[in-house]
Amino acid sequence: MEKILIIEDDVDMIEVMKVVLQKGNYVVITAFDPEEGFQKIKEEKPDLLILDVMFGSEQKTKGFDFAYKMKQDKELAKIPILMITAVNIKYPQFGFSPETDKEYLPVDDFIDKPVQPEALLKKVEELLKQKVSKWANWPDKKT
Amino acid sequence: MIEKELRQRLDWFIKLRWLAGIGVLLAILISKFLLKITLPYNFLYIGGITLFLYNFIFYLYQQKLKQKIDSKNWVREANLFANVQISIDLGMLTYLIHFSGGIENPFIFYFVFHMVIASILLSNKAAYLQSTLAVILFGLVIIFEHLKIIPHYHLTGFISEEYIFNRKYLFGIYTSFISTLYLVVYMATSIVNKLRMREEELALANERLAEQDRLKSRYVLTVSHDIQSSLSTIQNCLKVVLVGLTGELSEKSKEMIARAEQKTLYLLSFVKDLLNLSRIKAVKELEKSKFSLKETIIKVIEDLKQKAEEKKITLELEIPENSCLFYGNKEAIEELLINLIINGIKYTPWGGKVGIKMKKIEEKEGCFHLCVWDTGIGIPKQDLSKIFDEFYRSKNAESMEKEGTGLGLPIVKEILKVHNGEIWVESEIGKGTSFFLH
Repeated sequence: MEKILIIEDDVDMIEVMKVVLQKGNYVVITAFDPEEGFQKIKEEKPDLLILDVMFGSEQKTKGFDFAYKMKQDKELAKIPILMITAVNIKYPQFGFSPETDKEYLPVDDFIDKPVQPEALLKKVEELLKQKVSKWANWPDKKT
Repeated sequence: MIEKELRQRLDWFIKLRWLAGIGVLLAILISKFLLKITLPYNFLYIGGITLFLYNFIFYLYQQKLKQKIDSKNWVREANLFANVQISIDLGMLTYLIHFSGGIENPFIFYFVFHMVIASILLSNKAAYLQSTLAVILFGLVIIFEHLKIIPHYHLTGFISEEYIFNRKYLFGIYTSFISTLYLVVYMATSIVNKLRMREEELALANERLAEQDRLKSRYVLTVSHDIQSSLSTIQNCLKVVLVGLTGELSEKSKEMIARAEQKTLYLLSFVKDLLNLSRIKAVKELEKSKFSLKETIIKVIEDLKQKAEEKKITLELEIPENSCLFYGNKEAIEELLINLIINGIKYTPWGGKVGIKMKKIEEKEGCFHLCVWDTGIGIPKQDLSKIFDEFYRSKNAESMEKEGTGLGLPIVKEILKVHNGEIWVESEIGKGTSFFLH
């Protein structure tokens, strides 16, 4: 069974995704902040990472930093990342949008909150099929 | 800020001197050939040419000075440069006046211009010092001419020579000259001081506004994250239960949960609209780039096809074959189109039509006429002026679709505002509505 790590600070959100993914017969591991997540990703070597963008009340975009940090490690860089975009940020002044900035982010796909069960399962399935992250050689864009 | 202003003023000063040089040459020619006054014209020509020469040197120096505007001592150096220029100008004016009649020359009051310029360019103290220099220079000329230490060049036919050597007359002219110069400096500096103060106040107020703007944006972002992510989680929890992932539900429970989920979805879209509106209002300018409006329209239509098909609504598209680029914020324009077309789909009965027409405005490059039309329920006449108000929903819109945020059209209006566009609407009850944009 494939192993999926979820790094997300919203406990309820984790619970929801856990229910959905377990129904899809995946092993789910969870972490509540990037620090814990980094330890778990090294220990558990999951097949897929589901990562939130913003963490904590200060809403730091730690999700980005986490993705960059992962790509520094040759082994971890291969794990595909599905990023949960919490805020639908349409205008570039406010940070980032998957539409315009995806070229600059080493993540494989995005999923919008609220996360719909079918959409989540579909994206997870696709990324697991892909096996190796398309950003495995970050910052070089080609795999 | 100070640097930029000073640089511009120095540029202006040098330009002004080119004009002054031309004026001097013209005055010489007129007095020689038209008025036929006998004067030592060679000295005057030398003066005029020197004026051009030193202005050329100043021009070169100014170009050099401009390049090192970032250096530490720039303001000091530029101030010194302005002082030197005015002093040399005063010297030149005195020289020209001396060789063209001294106290007889009506142009002596041109010293006033130098005082005004000094008051604008220099510090108050420096302006007063420059006026003192002018008083001394001019005083020396009339006193030395009077005492015959230097020659006096009489302007034949202007005033009779007896006045010129009349001490009372000289005293009168000189006193009025001195008082005029000091008064001009006093008046000009007080106006300039006031303007400078106002400018500083405005700059400060501007800075404060920008800061508030940033705070507001920050606030919007915080609120958006908190409300939206909590609502998302609620919707997710409900959905998981609703689709039976946590076990079977009774029909009634399912129905109740479905109601809760629908309400949450509505709230989510409401928050999203509200935030989009606040975001676009919080910024003065959106990042713009050139993109194909035609492709954007096609993409939006493609994205909304499924939604239209759910109600068996046909989407019609009428766009010119070769379309030019549009300069604007692509995401915002996309949102504008989505809002208008979704409105069309929402308020058009089963089986109707929604369409978009695009036309280039020939006279203005990069400008387009857009028309988004539908065969929907229409908007009552009395509501037409209000539909762009925030939260306003027309009565018949409410009766057709219970839930709506009343924010779609205000967002459209704000997006158009940032793009210098306009929107107006024509509608007939029961027949449909057309929104025209350009």
